[in-house]
Amino acid sequence: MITQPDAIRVVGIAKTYPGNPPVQALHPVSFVVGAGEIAVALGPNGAGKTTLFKILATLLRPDAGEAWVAGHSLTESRGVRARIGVITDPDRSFFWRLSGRRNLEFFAAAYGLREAAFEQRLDELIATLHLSEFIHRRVGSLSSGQRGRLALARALCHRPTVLLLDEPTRSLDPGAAGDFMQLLGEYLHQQPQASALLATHRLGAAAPFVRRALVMVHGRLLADGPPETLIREAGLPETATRTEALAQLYAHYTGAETQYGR
Amino acid sequence: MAVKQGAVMLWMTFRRDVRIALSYRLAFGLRFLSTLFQVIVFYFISKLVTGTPVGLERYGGGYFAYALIGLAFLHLFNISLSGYAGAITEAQQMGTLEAQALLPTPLPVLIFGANLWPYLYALGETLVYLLLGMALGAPLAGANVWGALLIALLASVAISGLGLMGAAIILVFKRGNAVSWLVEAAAGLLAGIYFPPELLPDPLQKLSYLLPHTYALAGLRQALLNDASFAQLTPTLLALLGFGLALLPAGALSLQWALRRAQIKGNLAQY
Repeated sequence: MITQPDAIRVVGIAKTYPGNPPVQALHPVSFVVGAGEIAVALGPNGAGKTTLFKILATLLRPDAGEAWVAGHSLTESRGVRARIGVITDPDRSFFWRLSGRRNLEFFAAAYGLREAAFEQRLDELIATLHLSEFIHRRVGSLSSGQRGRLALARALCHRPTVLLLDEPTRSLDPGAAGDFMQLLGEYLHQQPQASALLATHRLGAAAPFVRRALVMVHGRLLADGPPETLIREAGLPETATRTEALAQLYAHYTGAETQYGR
Repeated sequence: MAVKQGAVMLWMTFRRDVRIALSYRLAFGLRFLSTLFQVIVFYFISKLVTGTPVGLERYGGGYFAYALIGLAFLHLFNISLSGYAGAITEAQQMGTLEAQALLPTPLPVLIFGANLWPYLYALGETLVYLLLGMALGAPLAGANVWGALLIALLASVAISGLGLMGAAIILVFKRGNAVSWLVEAAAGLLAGIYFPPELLPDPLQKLSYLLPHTYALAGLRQALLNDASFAQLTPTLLALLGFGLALLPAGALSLQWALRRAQIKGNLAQY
């Protein structure tokens, strides 16, 4: 039987930023996100989420440990990059003087998508992510919500098997963030083989399709598993919705208030 | 396959930058005007230099033609020297550097590609300099154009090695491109852009031989003003080839090292 590799397998990855003094951003962490699984990384600012995302996206080298993304070791950076879709900063990662279409054309070419293949994929993305009203406008003239959708289109243009989405809705209002998450959810529903690791503080928008939670605080992974299981293991009262479960976990491990209370 | 994909991305990067440049129409036009003014200014300055001054004997055409060639190619060489670092800084400031580093195409290919349009634009400007100069009486009609073009390309390759070292410095220090500053200042003084190196004191003349610019400008004047044959240009071509073989790999290695360092420090996008 042929088994699919895990989407993400992390074994003892650690990172200290050099400096005076050095900053230990990530203590050794290990976890697995299975093929087709959607996981959310929860944690306050400074928890090490962005460091983890950057390592998995091969932008940053870990000091220790090993990791595989879409079956490729991080040392094979080109293999990893060809199979991941990443959103880090949707607002400031485009060529603002060019239209959305021209931007996507440039980035898609790096994945070997050109001419007819690109046009076909662009038509699909326009339909799926509702880009038609602004795809031919300069990125500089788009709203944050529109740029967010364009960033999602870029992340999806080459049909990646693993999505790494680091606070993709950070600059969006609640309505636009909800729309974004809905589009993402629809895409992931249509692509059951695709996996995602998502960091967000908008628990309500992410909750419907998240199956696994990673709770990080001060560079340590404190909990990892399905939200309902983690709630039971932590001895917390059962919740009616997954949004409340995620909020409870967040509050329990970080000590922070959320919009859903402690 | 990887080579073909690299070539595709060079083309896509070039096309992207042409589109961006064309979106700034006023800047596009103003650059042409500044070229025109610079040629005219040196035309009138050259009126002060009569006869055949010391050091200009081996170049026909007098001071205007001498300075014209220095100015025209200095611009081109400066793009090779500073363009890579400039492309990195611009991408850092726009926020697109990290987005490009996430692509399967190696970042050095995209950085190289980002200097193609500025280089070809500067090559066009060089041609405009020379045509304007001809219109104002510079004796370039019987020039060895292919010889000059080959010298310009070999010099650009050699100077690109220094430019890649400058790009590495920008990745490490973020500001203060010491290589570009040093080479540009030294070339302005020593390489024979505005006046012949023969006018310099002996120790400075010796220093000028450390710069590829010196060989390139002497060869370009031989080709463009004296119609020197390829055989006569061979020593210049060999010297520039030697500079290129030494500097280009050194520059590429420096850039690779700086990118690795940025991956360790996590400051690729910082500026």
